[in-house]
Amino acid sequence: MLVITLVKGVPGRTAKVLRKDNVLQRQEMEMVLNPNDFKALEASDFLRRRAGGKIVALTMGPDTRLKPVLTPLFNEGATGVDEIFILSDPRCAGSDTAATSYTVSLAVTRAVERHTGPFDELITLLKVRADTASVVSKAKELWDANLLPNKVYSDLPSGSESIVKRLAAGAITSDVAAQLLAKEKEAILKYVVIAGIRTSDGETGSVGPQVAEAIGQRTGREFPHATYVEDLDVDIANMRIYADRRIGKHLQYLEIDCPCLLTMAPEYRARRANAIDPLHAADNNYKGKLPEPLKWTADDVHADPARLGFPGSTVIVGPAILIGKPATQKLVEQSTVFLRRVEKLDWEGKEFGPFEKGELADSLPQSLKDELAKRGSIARFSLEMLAEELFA
Amino acid sequence: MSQAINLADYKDVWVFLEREGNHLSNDSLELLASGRKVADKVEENLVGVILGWELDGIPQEAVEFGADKVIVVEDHTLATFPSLAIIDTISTLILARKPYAMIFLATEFGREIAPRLASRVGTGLATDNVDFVVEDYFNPKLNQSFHNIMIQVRPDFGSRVAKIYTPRHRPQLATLKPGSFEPLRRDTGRKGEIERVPLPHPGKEYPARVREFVELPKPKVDLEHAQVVIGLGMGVLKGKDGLPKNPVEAYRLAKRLKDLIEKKWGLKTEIGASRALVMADVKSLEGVISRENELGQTGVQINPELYIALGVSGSAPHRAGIRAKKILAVNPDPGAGIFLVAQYSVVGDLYEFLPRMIATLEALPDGD
Repeated sequence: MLVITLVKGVPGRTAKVLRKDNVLQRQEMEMVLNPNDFKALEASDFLRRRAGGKIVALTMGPDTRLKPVLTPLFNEGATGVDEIFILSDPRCAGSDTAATSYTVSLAVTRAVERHTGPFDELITLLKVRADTASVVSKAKELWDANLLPNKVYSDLPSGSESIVKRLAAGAITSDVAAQLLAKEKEAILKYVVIAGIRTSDGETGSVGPQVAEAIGQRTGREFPHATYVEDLDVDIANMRIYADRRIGKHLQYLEIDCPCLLTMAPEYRARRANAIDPLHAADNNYKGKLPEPLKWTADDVHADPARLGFPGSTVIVGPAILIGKPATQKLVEQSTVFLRRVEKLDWEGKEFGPFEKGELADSLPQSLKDELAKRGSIARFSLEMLAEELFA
Repeated sequence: MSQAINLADYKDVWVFLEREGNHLSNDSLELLASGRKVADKVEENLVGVILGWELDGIPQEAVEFGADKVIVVEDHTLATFPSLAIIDTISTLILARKPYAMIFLATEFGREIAPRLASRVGTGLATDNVDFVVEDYFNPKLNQSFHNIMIQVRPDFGSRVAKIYTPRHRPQLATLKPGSFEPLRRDTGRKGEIERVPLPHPGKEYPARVREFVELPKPKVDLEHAQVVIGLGMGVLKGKDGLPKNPVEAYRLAKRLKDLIEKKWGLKTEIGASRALVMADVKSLEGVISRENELGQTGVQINPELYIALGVSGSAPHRAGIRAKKILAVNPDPGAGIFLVAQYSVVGDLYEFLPRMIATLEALPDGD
């Protein structure tokens, strides 16, 4: 089973930087993997162990920043991901979810074609009646590049059962081999895309469903999705996903035809990942992994430049307005506050006030504070005052 | 996608209503209030859209809570919330009838269908809004003015709000965070049109099927609708001297505070926890603090009257999930992020502060 996992690098939760002027210093912040994406990786790992196959991680963003964040994913979990592609193109900057989903959906298709293309190459060779030796050498080349699963070609001891080895041994004809390859290609097309529920920076949770919609629109076939998946399993014989998801106070048990897209709820915990059929799973595996993340540009995924970044976006984000800092901040048992309303007053040639009950008096000159305290107008902000302000 | 459309063709304000049992959900009443605000501003009708089965008096309820009209799609196949069928139905209605805006709730179901619907009908979606304003808008990048745009206000990185615009596309789609609007007063004499519409593609097979639809047991905590939320953070694990404390003690104190507030002032109070504390899986807190207690962006997002943060450092994602009218923060670290948003700050140890706070509250006269 081909599993495509969508991940994102987000600003880390470095409180130090965030405190600076209360403004986010994005460029100074470390990048981390979006926390919800670990659930997507857990689910991907589960499916791969259950059914065999490959996990391809896809992301979008500046490749130089993302490479160190993503490289550890090769070793994340039990087996790690097999391939990582970073869609990195300055033209994608400023994309809203619509533009992002469009681009990511193209990358998904590209990742799928990368794995169906080799089948087409072999089928073409068989169709033009190329000699068996060149079919074998092509298959070996593709298998070495991790582009064909063991069941198509393998130099492993079990590989004698692979389609191309059986062809070479004369056990099957070219036509049968071509049919078998076409069938295996269809299996690749029953892929699953998995994402986290939402990112911690954009916070929309929209990209998952919109990627499904974008693929559906492009292929002209409804591409199903389910969000908030809390539990899942796979039915390999029928290439279906069983997923549980929550809707308010109800739980939905879904049966979803592959290809499909799932976003994983934070509650998701992978079931024990024993393979349904261990031999079958191994047959679906590939030789190895890519050594490092690879970069794709928008051109590599055949994107229409008019649909990227700002021009491709439907939503415009206006300037952020600070609302965070409350008007007054009272330090319990430290701040000084007015106990009653005090009218305008002159003090040492300057005008102060008027002051409302509860207003902070900390910034007044010390001599004035002493005087007001003497008059009983101000006092330390006590627990009793706090209780009254909170619950009165 | 951005083929020129005539913006003036798009009229009414639609809201996607959700039911709870035999009534509209409370959140849907807030949704009607938010839609009413926009519809009044653009002087168009507020239209409730409800899909389901055995809806009985629910559409009339929507009228009484502010809708001018209700579009009802009632079919037994909709009883289990099949999202692809619902998206198909609403997108067909949108393309045929051209609403100016459509607002969904930022619930699991709203998040499931609204994004896909936006892509289906070729428009944008602003999620998790807390307010809607109608204004004229000029975009310098496009060098273009837009008349009467629904400006969507959403929280952004904790202590800010961002205004989101979908000026060039219709309908303007948005989700509303529950707890942001007061429901309108029910008017049982209010009249409105209820239009029944059949499924656009009856009998159509979709590639995802609902096999079962079961009601979940009620959750133990209801942070979303609490008037007062007490949040526990990693600070419960150690005292002022830096030595480890039994966090159960902090939980007991928080529970005493909760019971006191509920008894004395009748305010619904719940205990939550920071993500850090939930993820720490503290053995002694097993059974009292779990995933359903998690506050903040990745957990439950809350809008209480009062939030009492005990030993919570207040990371940006935590702050982003809190919209409280008042915040009281207790933390020994004066540089803790939570103090950025707290009106009332106690720089100190929660184990010292809480017993004194409780004693002070106990001594106060009862509220009404």
